[in-house]
Amino acid sequence: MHLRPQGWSKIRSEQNRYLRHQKSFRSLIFLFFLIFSGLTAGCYKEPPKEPYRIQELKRLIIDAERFSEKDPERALALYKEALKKSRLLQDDKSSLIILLSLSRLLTSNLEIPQERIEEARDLVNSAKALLSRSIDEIPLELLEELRLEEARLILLSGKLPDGGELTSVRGVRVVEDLLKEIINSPSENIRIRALNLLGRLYIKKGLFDLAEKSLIESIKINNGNLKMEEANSHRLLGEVYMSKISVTIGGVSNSYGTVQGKNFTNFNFQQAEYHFQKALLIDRELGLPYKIGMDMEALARLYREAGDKRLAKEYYLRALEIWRLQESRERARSIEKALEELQE
Amino acid sequence: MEIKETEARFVFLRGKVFLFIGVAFLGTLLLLFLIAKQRGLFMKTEEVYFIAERATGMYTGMPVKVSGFKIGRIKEMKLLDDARVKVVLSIESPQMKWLREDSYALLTKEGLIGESVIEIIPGKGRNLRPHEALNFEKLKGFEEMAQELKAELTVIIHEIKELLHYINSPQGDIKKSLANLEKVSEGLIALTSEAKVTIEDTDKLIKELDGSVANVTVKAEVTLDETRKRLEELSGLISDTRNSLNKITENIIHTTQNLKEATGKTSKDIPLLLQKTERSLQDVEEILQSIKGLWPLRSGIKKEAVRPLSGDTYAP
Repeated sequence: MHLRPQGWSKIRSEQNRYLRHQKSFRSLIFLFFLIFSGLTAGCYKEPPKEPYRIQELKRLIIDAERFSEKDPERALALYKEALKKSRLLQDDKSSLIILLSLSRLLTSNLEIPQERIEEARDLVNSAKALLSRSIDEIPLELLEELRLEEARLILLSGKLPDGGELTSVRGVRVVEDLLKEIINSPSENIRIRALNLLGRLYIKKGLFDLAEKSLIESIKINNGNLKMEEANSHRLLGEVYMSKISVTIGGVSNSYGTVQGKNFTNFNFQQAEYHFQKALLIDRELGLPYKIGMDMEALARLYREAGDKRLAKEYYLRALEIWRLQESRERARSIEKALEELQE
Repeated sequence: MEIKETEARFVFLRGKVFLFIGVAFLGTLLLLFLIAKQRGLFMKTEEVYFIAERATGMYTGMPVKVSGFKIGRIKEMKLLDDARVKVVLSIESPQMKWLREDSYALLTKEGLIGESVIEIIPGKGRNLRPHEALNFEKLKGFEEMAQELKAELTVIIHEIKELLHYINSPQGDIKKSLANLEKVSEGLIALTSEAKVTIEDTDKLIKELDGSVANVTVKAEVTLDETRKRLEELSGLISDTRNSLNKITENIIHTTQNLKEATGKTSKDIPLLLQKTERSLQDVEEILQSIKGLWPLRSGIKKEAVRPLSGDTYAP
């Protein structure tokens, strides 16, 4: 007779109970999964997709932006292609973006020929014309960008769109009006650039205190988001303080250590040196050779102004090396001339 | 009591059923017969065989073809005592005419990656009799060809390496030839200065001619001897230089040819490789774009905004 061990029935019943639990647990998980999938499928609504052509256009603009620093010629070709597409699609917003970008790309070199500035001005005029007849809703930021570009081109060429001179009272007022409209822009990027342009305008007009105020404000807003603009602010501030040295000592070159009773001059020198060095540091971080050259040249001018011929020569020589590498003959020639003057 | 079927439809029902089944059976038989005939089951066949080193790639029932037409199949394969394989072919009798004593059976593929078949290459000798042996060859398949190509490429790469090593080796002919050339040019320079000295000596001797003619004659002879010797040396050096230069030129031509061949072979592959890499990258990008577009991920990926170029407010 086959004998079962003691407690066999208890083990069997435990086993059965365990299997039953396992089965019900599995069913529960399955049910939960079923309800979850049902709810997900039922509640999910796919967002409307952009048409392929619009996506293609956007990708073209993004690609062009990527190439703008390393390969400007390619970026130019891509922007032109994008412009054609945007006109075919009647996409006014994209067209405005492209026209502004093209204008900036054409005027971003170290030495900008007059024809390029004129070409950029034509592009901005086209953008304005497009804006006037557009029925699309154009974002405020884009309108402000357009004003900023207009002001930038005036400062770059020194001429108003109607041919008037920037240095005239009217010229300054036109640019000031354009920029003052956007220095309170909700966009931080636009505010920073507008303040920098305003600083440049005031330096041109010899209004150093106003320039100082604008540029300090620009540095204050900039939290390192726009590094290039931060360097620009510092360089311009350096110029402001350097100009103040000349004003204080009556335009006569003098050693900063020996100017008697003129602590103000010494302060200006130190400020100018600090800001130029800061700009140099940022430009080195960004790896922009022509900006580094400008900073070196500015420092050389500062030391020369202050009478430190050794440092002036050192920075002139470094700048000269950069301009030679950049094949900027005009700038190299002007430095060679300055070096000759230093020798005398 | 016998019940008679009065309904017209059921009169001779059994007969009708038998007739129907009979017709269906006959039809099936006819169909089977036709299929068998089509397959050549009723065709009289003869057997021939060939001996192969291995049976890889062959199987029973494999078609045997002449110029693409099936004439038979492999009937059976037997492993012999010497580890070789006897493959018996069953050939349709009317097609035996294609099999001659110098005919070849080739194991090949229809196309590069097509079905394997036994292809018969008809010969010109006497007709093969049943149960006689046929010659056999195995044609190279794609894998074998790839293996051979790999072996050849390995040799080529090895040769290129050797060539580069040979060019760079300090003890190599090229480096030696260049060193020799340098020495020869140095020798020539020294020789020129010596010849100049000799000419100056001669000049002096001529000036002293008035003093002692006899002496001068002797000295002149000596000088002439000296000059002759120098000229002989010079001529020897020039011929040496010429030989060295010839050798160098030959080496350079040889090296250039080798390099040209090597670069020619490699340069053909580079655009292909680039094309493939580009395609692969495109595929990867497409896959990434698709993954990015999936619902749960899409919301987490920040879309790139289209905006105008930042530009620079500090244009010089």
